[in-house]
Amino acid sequence: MAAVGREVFDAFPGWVKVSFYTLAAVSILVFGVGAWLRARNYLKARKANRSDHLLRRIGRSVAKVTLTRSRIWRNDRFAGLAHDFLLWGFLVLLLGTLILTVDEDLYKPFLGISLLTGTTYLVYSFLLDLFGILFLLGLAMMLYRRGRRTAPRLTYSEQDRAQAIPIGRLIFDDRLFLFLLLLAGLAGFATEGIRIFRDGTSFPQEWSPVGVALAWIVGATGVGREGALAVHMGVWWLHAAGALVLIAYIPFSKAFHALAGFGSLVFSDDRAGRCLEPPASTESSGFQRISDFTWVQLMHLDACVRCGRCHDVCPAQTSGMPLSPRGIILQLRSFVAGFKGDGGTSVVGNAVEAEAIWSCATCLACMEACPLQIEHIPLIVEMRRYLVARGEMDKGLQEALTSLGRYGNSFRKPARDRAKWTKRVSFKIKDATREPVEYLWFVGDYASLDARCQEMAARTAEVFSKMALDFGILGEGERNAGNDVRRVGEEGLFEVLRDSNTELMKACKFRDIVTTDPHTYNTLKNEYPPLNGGRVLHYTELFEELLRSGRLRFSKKLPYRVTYHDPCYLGRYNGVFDAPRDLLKAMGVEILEMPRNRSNSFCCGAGGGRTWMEEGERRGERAAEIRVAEASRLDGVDTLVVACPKDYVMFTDAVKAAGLEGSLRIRDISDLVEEAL
Amino acid sequence: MIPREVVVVAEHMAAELSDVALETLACAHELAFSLGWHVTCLILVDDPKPFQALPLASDRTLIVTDPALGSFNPAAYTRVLLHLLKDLSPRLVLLGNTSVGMDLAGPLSIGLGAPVVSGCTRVRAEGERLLFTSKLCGGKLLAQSEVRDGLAIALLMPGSYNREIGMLDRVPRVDVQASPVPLETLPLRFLELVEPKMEDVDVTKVPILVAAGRGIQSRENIEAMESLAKALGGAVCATRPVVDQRWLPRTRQIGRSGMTVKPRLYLALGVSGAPEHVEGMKDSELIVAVNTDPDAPIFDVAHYGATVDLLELVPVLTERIKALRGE
Amino acid sequence: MKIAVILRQVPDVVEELVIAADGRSLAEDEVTYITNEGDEHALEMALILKSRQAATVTAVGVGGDEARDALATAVAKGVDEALFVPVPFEHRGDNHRLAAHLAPAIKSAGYDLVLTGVWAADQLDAGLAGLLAVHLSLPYVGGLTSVAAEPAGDKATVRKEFPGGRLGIIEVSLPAVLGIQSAEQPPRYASVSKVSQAKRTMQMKELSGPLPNVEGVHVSKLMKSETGVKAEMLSGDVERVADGIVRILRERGVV
Repeated sequence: MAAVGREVFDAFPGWVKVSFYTLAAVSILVFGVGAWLRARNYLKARKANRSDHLLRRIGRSVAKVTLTRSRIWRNDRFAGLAHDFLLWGFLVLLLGTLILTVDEDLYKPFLGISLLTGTTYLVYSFLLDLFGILFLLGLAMMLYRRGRRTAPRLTYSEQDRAQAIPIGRLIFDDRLFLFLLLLAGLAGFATEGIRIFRDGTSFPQEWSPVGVALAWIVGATGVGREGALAVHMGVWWLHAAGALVLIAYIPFSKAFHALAGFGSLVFSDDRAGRCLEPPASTESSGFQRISDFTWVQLMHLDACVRCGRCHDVCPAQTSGMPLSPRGIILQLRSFVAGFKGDGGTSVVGNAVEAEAIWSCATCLACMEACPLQIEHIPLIVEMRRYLVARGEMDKGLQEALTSLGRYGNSFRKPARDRAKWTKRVSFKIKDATREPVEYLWFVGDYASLDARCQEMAARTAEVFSKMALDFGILGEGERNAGNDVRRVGEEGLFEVLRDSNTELMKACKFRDIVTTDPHTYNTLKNEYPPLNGGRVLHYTELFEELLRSGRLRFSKKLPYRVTYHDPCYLGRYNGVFDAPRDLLKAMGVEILEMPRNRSNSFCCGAGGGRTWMEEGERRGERAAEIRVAEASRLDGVDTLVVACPKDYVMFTDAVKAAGLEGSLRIRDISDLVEEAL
Repeated sequence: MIPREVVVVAEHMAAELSDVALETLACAHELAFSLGWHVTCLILVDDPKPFQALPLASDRTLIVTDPALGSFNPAAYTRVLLHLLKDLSPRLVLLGNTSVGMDLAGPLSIGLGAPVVSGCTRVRAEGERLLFTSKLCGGKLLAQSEVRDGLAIALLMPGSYNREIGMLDRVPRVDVQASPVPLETLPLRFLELVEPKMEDVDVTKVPILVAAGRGIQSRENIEAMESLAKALGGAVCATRPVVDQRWLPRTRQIGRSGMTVKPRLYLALGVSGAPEHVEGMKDSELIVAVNTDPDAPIFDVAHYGATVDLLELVPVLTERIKALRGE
Repeated sequence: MKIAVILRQVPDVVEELVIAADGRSLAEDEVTYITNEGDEHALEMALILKSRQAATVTAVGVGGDEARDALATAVAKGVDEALFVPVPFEHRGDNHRLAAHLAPAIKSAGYDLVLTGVWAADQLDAGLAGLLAVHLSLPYVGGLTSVAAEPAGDKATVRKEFPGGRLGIIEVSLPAVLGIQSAEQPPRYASVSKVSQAKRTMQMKELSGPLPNVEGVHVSKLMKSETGVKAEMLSGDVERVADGIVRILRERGVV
């Protein structure tokens, strides 16, 4: 062979070319129809306000997919590597095929020459071979994992079964998808091998190591050039069939994630979950019609590849409650797929059980873990809104909401009791509603009214005073900030609380707001209107600032070995990881990290209104008990440091329940700060 | 002075006079004795025999019989009482502030044109005036009211008087008569009296009770109560709100519509002390109450009290008791 | 079946109760009103009956402006009609007067069942339910925890509470007035947005006119209950209190 290049259809009979292009057309048609059937729903859905800065969004998403890929790698390097191989392998091979098609069907006929000759061709074929190998390697890794069941989240649990997810179908799809990829890949190499054999070429005309090696193997079997033609055609058809079926199958399988997932990344919102959106209409429908979803939400449902990362990190799931974040997405998806006409039945009670919906602690671990940035929590909150509107909730939650509506706190105590904790403080705390202060301290329900936390509140006040902070509180007019009220689905009550607090704070003069409760922090920072132009700070952020500016100085070094639990609403929700740690280090404390730390912190289980609900059915240990056990396993650590009153209460109870009293102490950071001052 | 008439409408159930009836008699006796007034104990019943030989603290026992009066049928009782009381023309009619008394108060008041004072804990006379002390608003308020002349009807809170003084050492004059009015066509028909299903614990027989009030906040905390009760060798009981929430069965309910108990120890945790509950436990030998509200009415009736958080206290207390018992 | 539910507004005892200067009543501007708990249960009972058979429920809100909010909540929960009965502050606890005032309107509407709480936290005279029954010449029984109406609408079977946890099963000829102690399930929740919506859209009728002059009980003095007079309070933190309790129990031979 004189020219270095390749004939695509070379010695094949003419009907091959015709039938191939016919089948390709059919395949693309099926793909088109399938994609249209899916996209049709998007057109019926609600608007989403996420199409701003489209180019920037696309650019960022491309970077996420190709360069960052951090979420796929997180806690699972095996999957990260395998997926990289698959992703890059597939992209390069796809690109290769595109170039070939362009060359064959456009370049050659119109310009008479081929792109793929000479050095271009050699480099091209080498790269394709290399990435082909990587592709197969990635596939092998994935298949191995599925076959050996080393990742439990891939084998759909009992709970998925219990929620009537058609697991059989899903497993079939999982396997078919991998099989088709494998088929296309292996057959591709085989084709290459036989072609090279039939061409009789080798190095240096061919820079395809695998192809050459395979050609040599074919030769070694003793088959002749003519005989090889039939085999060549056969294997070529396998490759073509594999690829064409895959293309046609994409809209009906998890392969669609490549498109919907990318779309999901493009139209993602970093504030999702932190700032919830109000309902579209006054009456929450529980997702009865397509138009109840935004098209972005539908895309999220389509983007899910069932990887199960959300399932693994969910504290409800881990503590045996009937909630699987993945399950919710899959159930919603199949419910949407089954929509007839204008709907009319709610997804709640029909596809998703109320018990599952109430089990969520809104810790955001699922959304943080999802490589496709699917937003589980807004979906759950929307379903909760439906249940609340119908009054279908457990009596504990009902009592709490009634109390919140009447008294502004969940403890059934009158508003005038709210400032009674200040009696424990040695000095008089300023009333921010009457005089200007530098820092407005939004104390919150728990610190004001729960007997265990009142003590902490008093000591925090003493610490503030020792640091000569100019601070004040809102007193009796303060109401629950509403973070959990909103996340429980009582949007109307949230608005009342928010408006009341905003009104009160507008009349005050202050520079910044300080809170000691991360739940309060989240909603004040993300969901309240701007308050006097000030910042919203968690007290650890404030202390760290004062530390750096020199206003806060520690007089003692504390020789403790501790571990720190990142509160969900401070860490994962709002990215405050370092301030508390810097504080601890400045106190001379040695910090050992738990396996699940920072944005991977494991929730204590009290969020999302769960602390108000009666405990339902549960198999296994409570989330808080699991967490304190994790802390106690650290070598030489006898203290678990917290920065949230709910964590304090939950872990203190958990330590007792788990029998760890005496070996693990729960302390709030403010407690340590007081000691070190 | 013309001796005035005090009529006590005595409640009864299962052929026995209720405790509140005896307490009401004690009240009537105390009042009448100092003023020289006359007390009639009025019993409406189907079979007079169980009541004929009772040494009640009244001057006369009037038993009015009719088959329709066997169980408490408000329509029947009202009809009979209106007729009888018009004849007897008393100055004061005393009833228990109970499920029975409350049904009769309204109709009697309008039928006889007399004011009603409910929730009474004390009845006194000052000259011609009758003075009543009542508890209101969950026991947080006391009202003093008076009726200058004419008939007054009062509903007495169970537990306000000592029922032992409701009986003397002699049997008063007993009159038995048939109902003066026909009781055939009544708009109410008493079908059946259902006894409560007794599960494993009869709280009236347990010497140590740990009472869970609304202050325990959630069902999960009942477990801690059970541990404490077990360590003490007693049982858990509850106030009405806790039972209404279905955290404990109704057979554990203490108070007006539940059980009346007199244990050696009544440990009231998170119980506010509303009169309807206190009725059922005020005779306990030792009452210790824990409630974060220092103004809670339970402290009026308790012997010892504390305002610490009961959720913190219970585990600590349980430990101490266990240690004491050498577990 | 036509059902009326009377929702009286009573002082919230969770809040601090302040005596007025005259020493005989509560200070008007310090009182927070809520719907009487028994009346909430009566409303729940009515809604349960409505769910079981064809019925219309009319909520009657009695009191000051808070009664309007109570009516909005009742509408949000599912009642069909709302009637507001404004009552001046000094008469809100006077059941005799209220019964006489309400009777004509209720009589003319011809209800099969009138439900309300069997007693209220602020009552000093007889219960409103019984008094109303007399004015309406209807049978009355109170202290009920369950009401089952016959489909024909002429009778109802009720369960009345007696001491010791006993229940009396009584058959009542309708129409009748019933005093509810508690409903078969705790009163349902009405979300804030539903209540706001009800406030905007509900048609509320009003019963105007002065209250009849009916003599009630004459209150000579109103005061706070003596508190903490009897109990010996144990001070200190949880540990000290626990020790104190253990000491007392040992002294009394309980442990």
